[in-house]
Order: sequence, then structure tokens, then C-alpha cells
Amino acid sequence: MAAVSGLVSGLLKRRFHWTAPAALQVTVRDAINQGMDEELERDEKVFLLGEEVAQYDGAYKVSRGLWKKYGDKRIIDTPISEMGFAGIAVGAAMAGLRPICEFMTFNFSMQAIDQVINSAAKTYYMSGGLQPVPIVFRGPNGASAGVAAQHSQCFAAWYGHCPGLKVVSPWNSEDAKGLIKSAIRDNNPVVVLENELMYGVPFEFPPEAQSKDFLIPIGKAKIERQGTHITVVSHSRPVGHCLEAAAVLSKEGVECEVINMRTIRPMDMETIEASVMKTNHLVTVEGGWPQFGVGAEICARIMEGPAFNFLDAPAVRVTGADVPMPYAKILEDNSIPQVKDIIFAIKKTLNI
Amino acid sequence: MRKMLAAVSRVLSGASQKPRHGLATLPSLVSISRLKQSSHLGLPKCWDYSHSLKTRQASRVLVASRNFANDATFEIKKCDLHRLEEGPPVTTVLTREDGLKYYRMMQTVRRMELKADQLYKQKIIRGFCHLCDGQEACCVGLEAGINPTDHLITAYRAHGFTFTRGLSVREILAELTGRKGGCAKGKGGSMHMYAKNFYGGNGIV
Repeated sequence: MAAVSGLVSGLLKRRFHWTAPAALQVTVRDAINQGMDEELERDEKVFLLGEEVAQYDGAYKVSRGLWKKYGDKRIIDTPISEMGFAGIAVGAAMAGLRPICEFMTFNFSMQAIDQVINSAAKTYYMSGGLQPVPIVFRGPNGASAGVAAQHSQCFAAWYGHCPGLKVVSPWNSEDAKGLIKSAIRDNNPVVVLENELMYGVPFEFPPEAQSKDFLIPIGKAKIERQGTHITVVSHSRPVGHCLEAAAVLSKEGVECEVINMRTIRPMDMETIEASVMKTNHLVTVEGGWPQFGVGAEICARIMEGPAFNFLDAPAVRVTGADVPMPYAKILEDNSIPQVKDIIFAIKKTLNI
Repeated sequence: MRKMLAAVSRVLSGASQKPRHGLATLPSLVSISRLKQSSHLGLPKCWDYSHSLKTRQASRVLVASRNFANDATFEIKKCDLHRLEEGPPVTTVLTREDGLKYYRMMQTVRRMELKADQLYKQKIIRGFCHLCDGQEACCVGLEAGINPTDHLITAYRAHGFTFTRGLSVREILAELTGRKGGCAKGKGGSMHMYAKNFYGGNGIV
């Protein structure tokens, strides 16, 4: 009797229908917004300044809602004078605050590059360790859509050249959130090179990235895709192109190992060397110009290090064309690395 | 309406008036019969338009010659002088030809900018497109005050200046749409147009 009643009650017991939660899709823009929001909340010394960051919610809506939440003292609209407000930000950092200085694009940072390099980057060294400058310079970098020469330059090589700066270049939402948080918590000047075309792209956000203390260490690359035949190293938007190329090539039997650098300076050479020692071939991909670029630095360091003896073919760089970005669409499309260029370079290196 | 016009025409004289400070003369309304003939004044539809084209044109010329001045004098604010005996002139005269020329230029720039706006909305023009419809007087007026051998540079709102510095609408629109026939061969785009003695078009503020 008890068994029957137990059975009946089991049948009658109602349970909610349960499906696995859909993976959280977060755009890069929202990830940066979340990262900044969490850091602003955590430390009251952190503040954001830049053109249109407050009342307009950000030129690219990256700082949406922050002014409403934190007010005029933490989110500050500046006049159109990069040299002026970058200088103010550096001074604030020296005085003990933790500013986030937004450039509308890094092309405008050239107006303020003296403040970034001479006032921010070199100061800790020049002062013998007395004066840290805990500042973050962030903004979109590199080519956009049809904005022509003065608005499309990639500054990874320029800022990566300077000792005293840390330079990070996120690709997806996870990178963006983790790196901006690490950058804000870092006591050194950090340049965060975002990408305007990536802002609206949604990515799957793993559960650990949803935590308020999710940090990605600066100086550590990530292997996005495991492979055995060739190492493809990239940063920022081209990482997506590399993964597409790898997908196309895996159908032909070529397994590419795609490395997302995440940090330009200090560069994670251990990961790249370990990968090259495994695959024996190297292709670097970047959006910037070839001469003195990120790819050139990787190749030089590979040559200087132990991985050189493991190379079966010269390393090949896939870069943007060595011209100021043209305006016409057909010319612009051919001035940045496309998936077909990456596939061509991989096949050339592998001699297939 | 007719009574009002008749009254107004009695108040204003038929002969052309001396132009007042800063304004061209308002057309004097002579008589109702002439009004009947001059359809170009934008009269309401109650008027009789059944005259032939020739009569209407003749009356238009008659009205124009009798009622519009050929030039307008403007007063310019006197500048403070430093180590100079004479400053720039304090009055200037705008002749009818010049006035029409500037008007034509401004209208051309306006039409060009409106078309560029339309093309931008259709995404045929990409990237940035900073227009100067409404601000044509800036470029036309500036050009009126300088010589073609003077040098000019501006910021990104450059289409009007490119036109007044001598380039054709065709070249400007070709550049905006990224064609080889553009003034910078399609490589510059909206903000990077150059001409003789005109150094662009600059994107960095």
C-alpha cells in the first residue's frame, strides 16, 4: 500500500521543466562597459574622461549608462583637445587617482602622444621608482569602415615600441572585460587597443567571465585553437580571420594552431615559442603596416630564441598594405589582411 | 487682397529706390495690371495667367529694370588700426553680376550637398560625410574675399571649399563615391580633398 501510494505520489509530483541555460552572448562593447562599471564601483579613485563619454553615452556607446550611475565627478566630458585632457589625466594619475583616458580613436592620440610617452610611460623609470602613473588609455584602434587614411592607422607597433608602457589588444568580449579590468588595476600606464568593428560582435561569455573579479593577466597569450601543422599568431580583429582560415584549411587536412596574443607589450614569447617548437612553421597576422610591425618583432624574437632551430621554413608576415588607408571600398578591402591572404600565406609557408 | 496690393503700390513709388543699409530693395508693386502679368512674383491663383509667354517675359523685364537696383552697398565695421595709416575700406558694393554669381555658387553647393546626403543615406558614400548645406555662404563668402593665388586650409567640412577653390561637382561626387575620377582618385574620401592652393580637408581636429 505504501509502495503504491509512493509510486502515485511520485507520478503526481510536479517538477518544473528544465533546460540548460542558453550560453550568455555579450558584445565586446557591453563587456568593456561591464568591466569599467565594476572597476568604477570597486575603487572610487577610478574615473573616466574623454570626448563624449558622459552625456552622449560614449562616441561608440561603450560608456553607456555610466554617467547616469556615477555622475559628473567620475565620468567627465572633455573638450576636443587630446593633448589637454591626456595631460590632465596623467597629472591626476601622478597625484594618486586612477584615470581611464578615452581617445575617440587612437589616431587622435597622436595629438597627445607626448603625454602618453613622455609624461606617462617614462616617468616611473625616470623618477627612479618614485612616481608611478596608474593610468589607462583606451579607445578603438586600427581600420574601420570607409574612414580613410587619417582615421585608420594601427598603433600597436608604435606603442609597443616604448618601454614603460603596457599594451594590450583584446579580440573578443572575454578578452575585453578581463584586460580592461587588469589594466585598471595595474599601477603602470596601460594602452588598451580596442577595435571599432568588434564592438558590436557578440561572443559567448563563459561563467567565470561573469564574475566581478575576472581578470586576464597582462602578458599572457591564449591559444584559441589547437593545431599541429602551423602556428598562426595574431591580435585583435584578425584573430577572427585566422580562425576562419583555420576552419577552411582543416577541411583540407591542415591543422592550424591559432594564438591570440592579447598583450602586445610585454609579449608572451613563451607561448609562441612553445607552439613553434611543436609545429615548426609560423605565420603572423596583423592589421598594421609591415615595416617595424608586431609581426616583425615576433619574427626577430623567434630568430633570437630557441625556437629558430625548430623552424622548417621562414616565418611569413601577413600585414596591412604599406599605404595610408585608401577610401574607395575595393582599395580598402585589399589593404587589410583578408581570410584568403592568410590562407595563401599558410599554404606558402607549408609549401602546399 | 487686391485692395491691399493696390494700397501698398500707392505707398511705394514706381521708380527704383535707393537701397537701404544692408538690404536690397524690395520690389515695388507698381500697379495691379502689371501684377496681373508678372507671374514670377508668386501671386495667388486668383490672378489671371492667360497671357502669352512673351507678354509675361516682357513685363518681367520691365518690372525688373524699373524696380530692382543694380548693386547694393554694404557698410563694414571699422577695424582698430595698429601702426597703419589706412585700414581696409568701410563700404563695399555688391554688383548684380557678382551677387548672381555667388548665388549660383551657393545653390550649386547646396544641391551637391543634398545629393551627397542622399548618397550617404543610401550607403553609397561610406565612412564620414560632413556636409555644409546651410553653410554655403562661408565658403563662397571666403572665396569672394580672397584671390585664387591665396592659400587655404580647412577642417573636415571641406566639400564647399573644394568647389569654391575650383574643382567641379563631378570630381567631388566621384571622390565621395570612391571613384578614380575623383579629385584624390578615390583614395581620400570626404575629408581629404585637395586643389591648387587648397590644402584639404583634414580629419584631425
